[in-house]
Amino acid sequence: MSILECEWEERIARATGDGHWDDDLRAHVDRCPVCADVALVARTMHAESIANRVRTELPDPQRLWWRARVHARRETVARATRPIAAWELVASTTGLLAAVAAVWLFWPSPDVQQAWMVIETTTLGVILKNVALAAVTLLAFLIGFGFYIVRTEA
Amino acid sequence: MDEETFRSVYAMVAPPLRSYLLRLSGNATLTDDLLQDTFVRLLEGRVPTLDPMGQKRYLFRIATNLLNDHHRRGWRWGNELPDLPATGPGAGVELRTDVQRVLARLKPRERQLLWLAYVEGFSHAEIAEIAGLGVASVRPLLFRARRRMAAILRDAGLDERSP
Repeated sequence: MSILECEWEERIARATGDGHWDDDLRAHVDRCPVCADVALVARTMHAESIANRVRTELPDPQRLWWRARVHARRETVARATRPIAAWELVASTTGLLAAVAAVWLFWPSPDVQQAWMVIETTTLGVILKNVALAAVTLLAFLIGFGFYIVRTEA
Repeated sequence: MDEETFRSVYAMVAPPLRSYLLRLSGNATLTDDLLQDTFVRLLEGRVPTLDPMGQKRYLFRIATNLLNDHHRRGWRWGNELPDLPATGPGAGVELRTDVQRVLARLKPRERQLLWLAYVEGFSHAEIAEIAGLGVASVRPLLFRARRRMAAILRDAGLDERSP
């Protein structure tokens, strides 16, 4: 027997739970401080647990069942629409870039045209022009792809 | 999982799990929320197929994790135990109130270990799994919790009934 535990501990705890005490167990509890603590604590916890169960009402399992079903359905819909949402994000970002590029490139004001020509001579200007052209191309592709999907679905 | 299986698991695990959560959280509303979330997870198929005892152990673990998450979000494990309506005879009600006071003097971790060991009868390995502790640390922690509770019970004169 160590100071932390006793080999009878489990038997004592079990006997406290099921109420099956015999003389050996009682005699052991009287002389073993570890098992005396086990018996006292286990008995008290059991009494509290029983009292607690009597006094409480459980949530309706039917409600939980339906709540889980609704949640699962929402998850399925969210999973199915995730690629569409991603496509919408890419399309709207590209559309915005393309619109900015179109305004920049084709604005009728000579000042803007002149500024554009100046900017075009710099590295940054070249990069911006290429990004704008790529955005227009991607937008055209996405619109075409969108039409293809709509036609396929139909 | 079909509805009938769910109902049988619920009938077996929900009453002890609710008692456990109530004793740990000290809050009936939170207890019901956590209980529902635990079983919703079961229904969503996030709990692997296990034998009934394995399922019970797993649900206790999920509930403990949910309570820990709640705790991490800034809510403290209650030292104040809930005022539950007393329905038993006079002497029993008095004892239960005294016992609740004793439990309230224990640390939440102590209450958790004592409950899992002496109400649910889980082994040290199972307690370690549920509480997220190392198996080797359960024994000394449980010993200290038990000794502390026994001392409080004796001080309060609640140890007079022998087995």
